[in-house]
Amino acid sequence: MSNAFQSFLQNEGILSQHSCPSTPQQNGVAERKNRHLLDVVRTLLLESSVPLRFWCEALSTAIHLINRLPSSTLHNVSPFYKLFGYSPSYFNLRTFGCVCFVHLAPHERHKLTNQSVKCAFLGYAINKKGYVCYDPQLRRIRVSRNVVFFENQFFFPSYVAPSSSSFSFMPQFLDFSHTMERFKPGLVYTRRRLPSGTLPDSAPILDFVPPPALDPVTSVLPLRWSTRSSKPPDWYGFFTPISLSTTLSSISIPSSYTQAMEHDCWKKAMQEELQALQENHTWDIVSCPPTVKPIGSKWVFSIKLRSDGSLDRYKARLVALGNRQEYGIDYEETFAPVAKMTTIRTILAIAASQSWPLHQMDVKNAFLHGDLKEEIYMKLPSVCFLLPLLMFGNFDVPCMGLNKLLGLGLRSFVLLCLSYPLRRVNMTILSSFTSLPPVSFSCWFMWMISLLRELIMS
Amino acid sequence: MDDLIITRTDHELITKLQTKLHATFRMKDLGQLTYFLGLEVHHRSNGIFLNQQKYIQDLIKLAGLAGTTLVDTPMEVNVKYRKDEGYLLHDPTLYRRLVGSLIYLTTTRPNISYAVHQVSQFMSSPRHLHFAVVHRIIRYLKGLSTHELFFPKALSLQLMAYRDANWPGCPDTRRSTTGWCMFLGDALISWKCKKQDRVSKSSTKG
Repeated sequence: MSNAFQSFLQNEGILSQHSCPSTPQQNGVAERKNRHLLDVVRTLLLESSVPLRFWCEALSTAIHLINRLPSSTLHNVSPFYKLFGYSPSYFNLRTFGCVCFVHLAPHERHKLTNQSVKCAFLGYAINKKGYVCYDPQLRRIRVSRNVVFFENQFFFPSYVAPSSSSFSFMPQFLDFSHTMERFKPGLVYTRRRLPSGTLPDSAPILDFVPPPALDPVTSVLPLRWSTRSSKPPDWYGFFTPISLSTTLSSISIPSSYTQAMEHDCWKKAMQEELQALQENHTWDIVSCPPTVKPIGSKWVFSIKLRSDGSLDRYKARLVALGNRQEYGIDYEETFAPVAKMTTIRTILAIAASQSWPLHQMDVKNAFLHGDLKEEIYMKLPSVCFLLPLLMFGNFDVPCMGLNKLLGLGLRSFVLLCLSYPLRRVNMTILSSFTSLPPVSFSCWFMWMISLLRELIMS
Repeated sequence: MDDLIITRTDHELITKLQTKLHATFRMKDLGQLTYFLGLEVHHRSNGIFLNQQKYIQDLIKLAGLAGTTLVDTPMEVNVKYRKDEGYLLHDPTLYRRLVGSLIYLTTTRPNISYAVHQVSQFMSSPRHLHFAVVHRIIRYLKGLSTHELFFPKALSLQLMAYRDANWPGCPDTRRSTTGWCMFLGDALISWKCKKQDRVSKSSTKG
């Protein structure tokens, strides 16, 4: 700290505080910034094999880049944007350390000499609108705006590249004409890849130590993780379905018909589905009246798992493309009744309290039990049958055969109690199982009481 | 809707019903109730346990939070979230999917219903602060994925309901939020967290 500054502080009565000696930890923000800068500088130098004495240019390039890159702490805008209020232009960014040709000034050339000189690109001038380039012949920096870049080539040879015969600032530009044809200047090209093979035996003897990355022992040491599989504590000895996710991930669900046809299990599932559709007399195959536009269909595949994670069965469903339907013409109802979770919990609570056995059943192709009032024309699944026929029939609204259940005198979808005689169907309780939730607390309480009364008392 | 639960005092009645159903529908008997609409049902000697462990695991995977640490509470205390705080999410789809799953998870988790109630208010235009709350809820669930809802045996069939409300809990609309829970004996069967539909001028609970 300068004496002038110290005396200024003293005069103003400002007490200046310092961090402890050799304790950079107390200087968090600056050290963190320093680390960021050094990381970028190191990356630039290593990637382009630029000699270390150009660290200063690398540093100003790093600052130039950091100022123009979006930062997560600034909510993904760049510091440049924060300062000036508009986004920086990225068109003039070039690969650090690449080969470039600087157009010579008029006094440095005449008609019959070189018009440009080959340089290494080393960044962006701070106080001029131009590129900073290093001229190895004159050993000086040129700042120019008339530069042509060869971004696919680094100026300084990389020491792992077998083509580098010697470490010099002026490597032979062997395939120059070839490069000229392949790469037109002024465009961004893909970065050349480092040769993947090992160093040839006749590797040039270089001044520096061989890079440690080539050492097979110390090279790619992956981070060591514990191999113990983690699972949540099983305090009460309950079952933990760890295998569910593994089963799910091990089976790939086909997304199209062609994919599914490659496996027998899916083929079988499709056959079962078609058979069920036929048995239920879902459709009739007719020719389509010319005035009607038939809707398409597609296959949907899924797997069903048991609760312990083992595979239950493969499912294939033929669905009509309902998004082509029009309200009033193809359908009128769009609702599907679902059970209310409170009802299910109540039933479980009662069953548990009375030690009743609980059974589960599954209606196959339940949606087919809903009868359609409308006539719907659907194309045959063409890939499957290769028949240009059209069919007519009862295709699905996913509302289960409500009337069929009611015809059986059953009370609801979730609770089926035989002790109830087949008396008049109580529509109110049916609606109370599935209706919209009551709005207020008191309504809900009354609903709850009526539900319990229906379930237990009667 | 194609899954059914059947229960009655004895097996004979159930079998009778099953044959009757078989006559009308093509049905498959899945035996004792274990897995129903994503709910895992465990039968123990002292009662029935209800859980959605698989659902929670899928949710954690969907949110990409498998490697994160746990938290002990579903929400930060005394923090109120507003509609227009934070930055708009570019793609609200994931937010909506996660909240939708969380809403279904309240089927067996009364303890997150208030937090889910909060985040589900921002479905139309979620912001990054709201998304952080969703992540916190999921991390909270992660620690509790083995907890279960318990329906004990020999429970008295007495319905009890409790309720409370804050005043006014929502900073945007100044409306109060009601919560209630209902017990059948010792078993919790119904709960709800809901913003009242009008602005209360006094804290007297109505």
